[in-house]
Amino acid sequence: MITHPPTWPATYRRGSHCFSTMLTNLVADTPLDLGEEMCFGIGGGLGFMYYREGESCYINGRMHNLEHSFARRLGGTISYVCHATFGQFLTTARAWAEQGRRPFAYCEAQELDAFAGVVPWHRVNAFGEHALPLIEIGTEHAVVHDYLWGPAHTVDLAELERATALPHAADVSMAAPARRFAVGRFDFPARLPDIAGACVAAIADNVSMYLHPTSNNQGVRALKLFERDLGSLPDLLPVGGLRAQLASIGIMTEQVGTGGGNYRRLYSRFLRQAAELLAAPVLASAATAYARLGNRWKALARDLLSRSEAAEPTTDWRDLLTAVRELRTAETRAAENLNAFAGSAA
Amino acid sequence: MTSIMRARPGGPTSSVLPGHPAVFAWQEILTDIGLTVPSEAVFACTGGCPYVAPAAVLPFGGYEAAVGFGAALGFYCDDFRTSDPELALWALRAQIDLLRRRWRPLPVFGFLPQPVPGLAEPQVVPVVLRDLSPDTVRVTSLFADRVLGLGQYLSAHLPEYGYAALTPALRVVVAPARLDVTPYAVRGLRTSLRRQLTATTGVAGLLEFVAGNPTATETAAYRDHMWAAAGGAAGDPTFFRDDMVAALQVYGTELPDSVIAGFTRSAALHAEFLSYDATPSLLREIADTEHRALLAGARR
Repeated sequence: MITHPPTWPATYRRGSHCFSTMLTNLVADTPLDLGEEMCFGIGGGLGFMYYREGESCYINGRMHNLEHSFARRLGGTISYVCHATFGQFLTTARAWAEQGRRPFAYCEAQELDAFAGVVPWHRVNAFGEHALPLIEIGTEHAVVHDYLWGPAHTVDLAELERATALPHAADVSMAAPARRFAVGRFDFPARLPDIAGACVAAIADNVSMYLHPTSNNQGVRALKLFERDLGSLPDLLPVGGLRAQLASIGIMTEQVGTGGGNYRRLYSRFLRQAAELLAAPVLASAATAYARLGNRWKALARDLLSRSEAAEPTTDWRDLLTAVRELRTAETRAAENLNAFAGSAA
Repeated sequence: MTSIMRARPGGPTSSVLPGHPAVFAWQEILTDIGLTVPSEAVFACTGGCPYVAPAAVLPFGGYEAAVGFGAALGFYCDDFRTSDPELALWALRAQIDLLRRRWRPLPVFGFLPQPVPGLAEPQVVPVVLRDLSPDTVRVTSLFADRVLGLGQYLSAHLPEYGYAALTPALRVVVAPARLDVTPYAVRGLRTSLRRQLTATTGVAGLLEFVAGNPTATETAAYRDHMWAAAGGAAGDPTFFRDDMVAALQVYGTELPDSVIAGFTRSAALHAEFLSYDATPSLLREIADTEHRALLAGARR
């Protein structure tokens, strides 16, 4: 059996993204110790999601179900349970903490006061779940970790209730039923897994989903939709609405748990480590390509944010569209190169 | 293999070959979507061979394996898990409404107790949930096809309620015939083999059980759990190792021959273990045989 500490680390490893940071802290001080970038890559983090509903554009640069994919590829399991009430949530969370199962909450980060000074939520169409490790749950407060801070901090239970109720989950009409008041945990595999094999499988599965996505709102199809939508947004939205959407997209791809560069830098670091582990120089080249993609995404975010504050946000709009088209082409080429690696490795 | 009786509501019972309960449920859902996927490919993506799950854990890998099935086949898969049946029912209704908005109200995968031929107690098995009305839901499994009152659904006394809902890829909806499942099945099988090697619900769990030197009584209890999970007297006497061999023959051709040989041997050992020789030494031989086969596959 792989044994693990019964509690979360006293000092949390800080990281770029909530779920991959949580995973690296879960495996810290165990024989399965992996850095955040490996957790992100094995979880199949490379992705792109774009969806517009009315005047709101929703965007995310990673694949869904990161924690589940990570567990599946290593022989572990993510368990979670939703509850009808916050009281039931607390009961489960306390029981799992006492059993040494290191629970975490699924919640909305914009409801947590700790992020108020970090992310300008009022400028963001926020969506999706945030992972919040739960150290201790008292009667008025809970002690938690979060990916931007090493030391633990305290949240009052009213704040935690608001966050775990996922109040904004229903904002997107095509989203699945909210996992309200959900507590999760990671159960380790019985034996040490083959990390190199898991990396190859993760790259192959991930890039396949990216190139052949399940809908127009994911992967390369979503990039195309994003490009097309940008072309018509100035005609669809009043200038104030356009500014708001440009700001939201820029902040989401750069500042909200992406590690900068819409997760591409994080994925690049994974590829760099996988290249060494697998003695595969082609992955080192891919790592360089994804680092460059990260730079392109950063430049795009800067441009979008700059336009969101400009008197005339559509000046040289064609340049923006050209940059997005070139980014899409580069993203597709990078993914196809990875796909070729996955095919040869299999 | 022995045949089992499978009932259709309002119609005569029909005799069908035994099968894998999770493969059966997924095949029903895929067929409803309009896809014809070979059962070997479905098996390859379901998480591989089952082992006897620890108490209070759903069989066949539970909902985690269900989500894994969707991912292995390249589909998006929504899921919901709770210990509260009322909450599960609320989510199921919301999910079916969502599926209707996305495309149409597809059936979803779940777990419920079902009558199994030859077994006195109903067994928790993979099911298909569909035709949810204000009062009833149609529940189809390998063993039965019934319309349940929601009161029955709510009183199932499960450790975990929920569902896993496939959202088919757009290209599948537009042109189902163009879906080539081979690369998905090849990768799904490899992931399944890796999981079997290390997961507590894989051979690693079985190795731990035999390492504890179980008594004859404990071994017999293990066999009884295996027997029930396999579908009782009417079920698969190889505990689905024949299915693994079939999947390996199609989607594991790059693996060493010793992998197929190991599972072929394991199928015979399971048949012996389940039918008349439930001894600790035979169970140990099963564990060692599968462990060697999985290691040979992993070394490639």
